[in-house]
Amino acid sequence: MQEDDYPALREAIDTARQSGNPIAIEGGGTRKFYGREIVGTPLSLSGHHGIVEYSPTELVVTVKAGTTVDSLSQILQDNQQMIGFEPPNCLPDSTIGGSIALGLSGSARPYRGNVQDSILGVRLLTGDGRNMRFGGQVIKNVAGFDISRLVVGSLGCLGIVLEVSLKVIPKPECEWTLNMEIPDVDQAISKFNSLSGKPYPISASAWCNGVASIRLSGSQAGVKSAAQNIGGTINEDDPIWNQVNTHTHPFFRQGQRLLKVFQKPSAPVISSHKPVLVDWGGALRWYGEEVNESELQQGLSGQGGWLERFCNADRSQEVFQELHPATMRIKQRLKDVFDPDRILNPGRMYSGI
Amino acid sequence: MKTEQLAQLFSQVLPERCLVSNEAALRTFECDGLSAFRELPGLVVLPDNIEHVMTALKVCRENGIPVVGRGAGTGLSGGALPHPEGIVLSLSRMNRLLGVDTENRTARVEPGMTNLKISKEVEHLGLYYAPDPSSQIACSIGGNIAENSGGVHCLKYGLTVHNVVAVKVATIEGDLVDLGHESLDSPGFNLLSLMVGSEGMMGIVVEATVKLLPIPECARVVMGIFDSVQNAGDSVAAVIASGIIPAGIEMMDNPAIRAAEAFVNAGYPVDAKAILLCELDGTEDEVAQQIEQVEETFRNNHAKDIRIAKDEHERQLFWSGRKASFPAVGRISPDYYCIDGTIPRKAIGEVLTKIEQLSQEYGLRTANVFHAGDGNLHPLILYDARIPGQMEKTIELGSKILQLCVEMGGTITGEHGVGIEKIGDMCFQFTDDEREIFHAVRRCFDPDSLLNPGKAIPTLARCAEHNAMHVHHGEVPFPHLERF
Repeated sequence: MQEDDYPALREAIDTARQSGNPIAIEGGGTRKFYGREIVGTPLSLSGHHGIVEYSPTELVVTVKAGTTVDSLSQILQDNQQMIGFEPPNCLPDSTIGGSIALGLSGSARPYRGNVQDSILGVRLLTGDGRNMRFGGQVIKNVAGFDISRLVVGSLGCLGIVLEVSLKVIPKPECEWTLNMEIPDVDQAISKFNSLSGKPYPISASAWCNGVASIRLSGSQAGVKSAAQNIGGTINEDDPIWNQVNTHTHPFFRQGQRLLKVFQKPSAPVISSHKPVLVDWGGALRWYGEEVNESELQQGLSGQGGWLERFCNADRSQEVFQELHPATMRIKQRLKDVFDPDRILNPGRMYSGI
Repeated sequence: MKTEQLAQLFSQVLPERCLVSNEAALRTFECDGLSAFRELPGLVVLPDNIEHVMTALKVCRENGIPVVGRGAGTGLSGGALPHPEGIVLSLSRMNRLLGVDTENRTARVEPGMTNLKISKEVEHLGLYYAPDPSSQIACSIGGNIAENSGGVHCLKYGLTVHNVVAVKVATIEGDLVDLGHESLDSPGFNLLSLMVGSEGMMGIVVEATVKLLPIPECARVVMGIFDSVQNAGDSVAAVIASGIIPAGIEMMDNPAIRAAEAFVNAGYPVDAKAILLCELDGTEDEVAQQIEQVEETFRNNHAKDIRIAKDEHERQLFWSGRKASFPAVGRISPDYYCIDGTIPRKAIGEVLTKIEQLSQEYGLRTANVFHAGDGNLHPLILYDARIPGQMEKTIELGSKILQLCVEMGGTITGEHGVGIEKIGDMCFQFTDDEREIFHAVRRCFDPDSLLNPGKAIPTLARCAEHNAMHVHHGEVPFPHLERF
């Protein structure tokens, strides 16, 4: 791969630097609702797609950023492999580059790790037009600082992700979901946490509408014996995981303001309004627009955790919390290093970044 | 600054018990696990608590004094090599367990706590801390975070970066910041991952919250015995391809097998060209099923013999040889030098063959003991430091092996870090632009570059000098290679 492979992108950067008119980086354009207001000229990465390298025995795949999550999943599936963090896939056009930029992980997050845990390397075009590679294609690599993981979730504010190398995992031989009725959300959360402390092959646990769902993934023997010990109704192909992952679950109905609350998994729920959906074994709680946000904020300041205005909030305001002025200062400086002219997705994450 | 001045400066703000300034005592800190590099520090500061750390950093900031953080000093790349005019900030006294959260399966610890102690402290709860560097009995969690340490079980359970939930960091600018959060993900840029593996150049970790995992119900080990390293290497790739992620899969070549067997009598076949130790863990049923699959895979890849440890005693016996292999090699050679490159698994056979060729070319014996599952090689070069010139030849051979790793699509360090040892080798893995970004990122945390200066990332000038030694007809090494 030569640097000249991306002449149009380099040109767009040059133009933006000269004109001062910023760039709005776009993957498949399926998650424009996320983050703060989008400013600048759209620059699509969707034309830059395809597998750069994939050897199933290495458990590593390198793809161009515009590759769709769907097409990559299919190729991996053909080799009985998958991406561990289960990238949320809102629409068929969602890209891997977008998934890296947003840093969103699916229901398996507490058990198989997040986006950072899967990333091994990136090729990045910075705001001053430098094309660089960080990390690599091997699982163990401690040469140089970990820029690949820094880029995850940076919403395109540090550079245009051109290519990415991801660790992949074998697709489990068997996957069952156990459903049990637990009307009280705190009880469900405490159930999830007590089970997570045992050596069961759990790969997801969520609660919605009084039903707790626990997904087991692994060898036939391992899943069966765990299911026997845990109990509940067995569903061999429960639609809930796909519905949550693709945001087609009734909870994600259009137009509603949704809040994500991140707390330590065992923390009791804060608001007198119960979360509508609990995922990540209790660590992620989704709230609809009926919730009182200031009450939530107040609870969080006492208990720890933070809140994100996921969609349909006032995007001219901050949507992500920043916890400490010192870390904010470091983040500003990082922006100066990677995008000194502030032409890449300015303000999409925080105002001024 | 000289020792006397430093001692005077620090004794005004810290208790005497926290300062080491006499030469004999300073000698203890002159090197870490890489004893080929030694430097006497100006002063050693041993803080008791976070306040002491903050105070020491303040003095350093105000007076432009370099600070080298140090855990247990077991690092293998000279990352804790002192600065002659600076202080060593040794975190060894801050070694307490601050709390265990059983429900959330996390432990909050001070940086000086040893890796193994964490697991010992939570064993009664059925939990453990997964990363297990071979020095786990002595190495500290703070050092593990600085180096992003690995171990035998990384393939399944990840490196330090995958197992640290949050850290509290004292910055050189005088702030105390929390990076990461027990809520799993944190807002904004991911500074926690950047801090892990930054070799003490971005801040001093004063507290860490680590992930604890349930102790697997059962663990069993299979030994595959092979007539060729190629077949053993192919077996590793085949096991992974069959959909199994073993808890660990380790390989030893013939010189390593012989050395280990002579030392601990683990029952290894001394005529084998290579052995693989493959550990599987999980529920009883799951492990039984996977043992059969691994056995079959080994057989399909021409294993000469396969042994399955019949009980826990035999499992420990199989592992004893692997665990004792470094000291075992130490018995057959006056000195040895441990290399730490990583390569794609599929290249194991080819790389081992090339290492053998290089070893003959240089007239130096090598023994290979390594984490085959993640392609992390540890060739041990056997030499005698008393013979003039052998040390230099050994370092040159080591560098050749690392270049080979990069050429095969790998990296110059899988888990030991760059430190001072591999700083020259960084020049052939990264471009000028990339190394410049590393320096700039570091300055975001440490604008005056006072934290562990001169380590991990070479300056452009140093690389120009280093490359001058390797440039052939004006070409940089491996011009065709992607540096990805």
